[in-house]
This record gives sequence, structure tokens and C-alpha cells, in this order.
Amino acid sequence: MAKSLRSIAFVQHIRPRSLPAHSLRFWATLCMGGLSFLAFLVTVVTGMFLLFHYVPGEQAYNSVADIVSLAPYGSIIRSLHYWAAQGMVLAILLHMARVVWHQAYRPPREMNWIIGVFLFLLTLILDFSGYLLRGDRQGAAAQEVARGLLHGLPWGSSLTALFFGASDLGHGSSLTLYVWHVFILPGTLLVLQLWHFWRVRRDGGVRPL
Amino acid sequence: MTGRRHLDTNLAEFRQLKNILKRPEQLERSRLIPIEELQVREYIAAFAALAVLVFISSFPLSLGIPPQAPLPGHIQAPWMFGGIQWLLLRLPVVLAGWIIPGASFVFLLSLPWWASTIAGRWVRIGFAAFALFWLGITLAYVFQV
Repeated sequence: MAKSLRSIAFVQHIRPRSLPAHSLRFWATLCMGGLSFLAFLVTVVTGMFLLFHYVPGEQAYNSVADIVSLAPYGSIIRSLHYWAAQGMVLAILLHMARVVWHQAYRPPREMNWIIGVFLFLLTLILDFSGYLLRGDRQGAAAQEVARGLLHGLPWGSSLTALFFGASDLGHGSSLTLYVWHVFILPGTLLVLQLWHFWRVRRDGGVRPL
Repeated sequence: MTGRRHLDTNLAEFRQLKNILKRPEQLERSRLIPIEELQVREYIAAFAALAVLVFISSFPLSLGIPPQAPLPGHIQAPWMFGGIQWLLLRLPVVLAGWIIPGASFVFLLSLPWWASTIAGRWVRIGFAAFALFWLGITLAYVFQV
């Protein structure tokens, strides 16, 4: 199994047999890139468990309450999902600060910096969509603010319908957001992450200051 | 003239070699470590992070206000959007909701280009000021300043 994996050029590229020692020093990376990916994996795995019980739409709040009180280990799985998502945002922020401190955005790494900024933006949107899917009063109010902001843009009503669904469909709007949160955003995030890792190896590791 | 250039090149190589012998980190640059060593480090970091995560998650998380309940006086935005919410409460919607966050996004995206025109120290100062601005208004929102 390990041999067949190693034969794949992509895996061999992002997991070469040996790496330059200077790029793996703790102070050169602070492990923040890896930790943000770990947090992403935790949210994906715990999110899969939540999918078994979560019901989007009008039943969202009650289904979250059922997850916490009735589902086996539901409370801790929900907490892990939440805290991993918060940790992911924090780790990305620290990762970006570290990249600026080491000037690791300089050529040939400009493209990877841009991918990273988009990863940060997508993570924020993903986190926000999760906040709205809780189905509580705060989430509904936050959704109103976001809808209002989108309406202020050209083609605002189309954009609002794209992200939140048509408002006259009632609970259908949550379903649209749910599809974004469960499939489109994490899928895009994963593709960008793989591209980011591939470029880390291609452009070379961080040089000590 | 060519002989002089050769001499300069040899001198530069000699200085480089002398530096390598003087500075151990130069030697480290050329050293390679096996992937297994990286894997061990990754496992340690992952287990430590997971332990912290499980510990934090062992405390029950609030369910929030039920959707049928009346709207409370103060609606709390998620902490990461607290900065935008703070701006929205004080500035016109387009400015607070689109122009300032959009300009911040462009500032980050274009960093490799504008940073190449100024000294690294000023890039760090500029980025620190940018980060402090967002951190400041986020904290101001979270702590209701």
C-alpha cells in the first residue's frame, strides 16, 4: 500500500523521501500550516458525524439540541467541530503573520501567498455559514445582516439567492446554505489546500533569517 | 581583465566557503533529513493539538437562543466578524461592509508586489499596523467598547 502510494507523483512531490533541515525548524514554521490542516480534518470528520443527525431548515435548532442531548457523544463531537473551526481560523492568522515575518511571500512564493489568502477567505466564509446553520436567534440575525450586505451590491438579489436561497422558500434558504457549507466550500478548500502544499514543496521551504 | 574576473570569482567562492565553516546554520541549509523524522514531529504536534482540542471540547457548548424566543437587545456577531460589525455600527454600510474589508483583502493579496518595493522592516511594520487595526476593532466589539 505504502509503495503504491509512493509511486504517485503528486504524493512523492508533497511527501519526498528527504527534506531540507532548515525548512523544518520549529521557529521557521511554528507548525501553524500543519495545525490549520489538522483542524480542517477534525472539522471534516466531526462534520460527517453531525450529518447523521442534523436537519437543515426549520428543524435545525431542534436537531442541534437532539445532537447534544440524544446522539451518542453528540455534545463532544459538536464541541470538537466548533473549536476546531475556531482553531483553524487562529492557526491561519498566525501562519500568515509568520509568513510575513519570514518574508516567505517573496518570489517564487507569491502565487502560494495568493492561494493562502484565498484559503483564509474561504475559511471565514465556511465558519460564518456554520454559525448560521445552528438555526438559533443569533444566527438568524447574522443572516439578516449578511443578506442586507449582499443586497447592497449590483445583482444583489441574485447573489443572495445563490448563497442563501430564495427568501420566499422559507426553510429552503437554509438548505442552500447547508449545501455550500457541506459540499462546495470544503471541497474548494481541499483543492486549494492540495495546491498550496504542492507549491510549498515546489517553491522550497522557508529559509532562516 | 579576464584574469582579474577569475580572481574575483575565486575570492567570492573562498569567502563563501569560509562563511560556511564559520556559520553552522549554513551547513544546516545543505543538510537533508528523512521524511520519517518529519512524520514523528507531525505526530507529536498533532497529538498535542488534539489533546488540547479534546480538553476544550469537554466543556459543554451553548445551544444559543431558540428561534422562537424574542430578539435580545444585543445581537452578537461571530468573533471573527466582530471587526466588521463594529465598523457597521459606526460607518455607512457600503464603507464598513464592503470597501474597508475589500481594501483589506486587496492589501493582503497584493502584499508580494508592494512589499518588493520597500524594505522588509517596513513591510513588517505595515502588516503589524494592519493586523493591530483589525485585532483592535474585533476586541472593541467583543468587549463592547
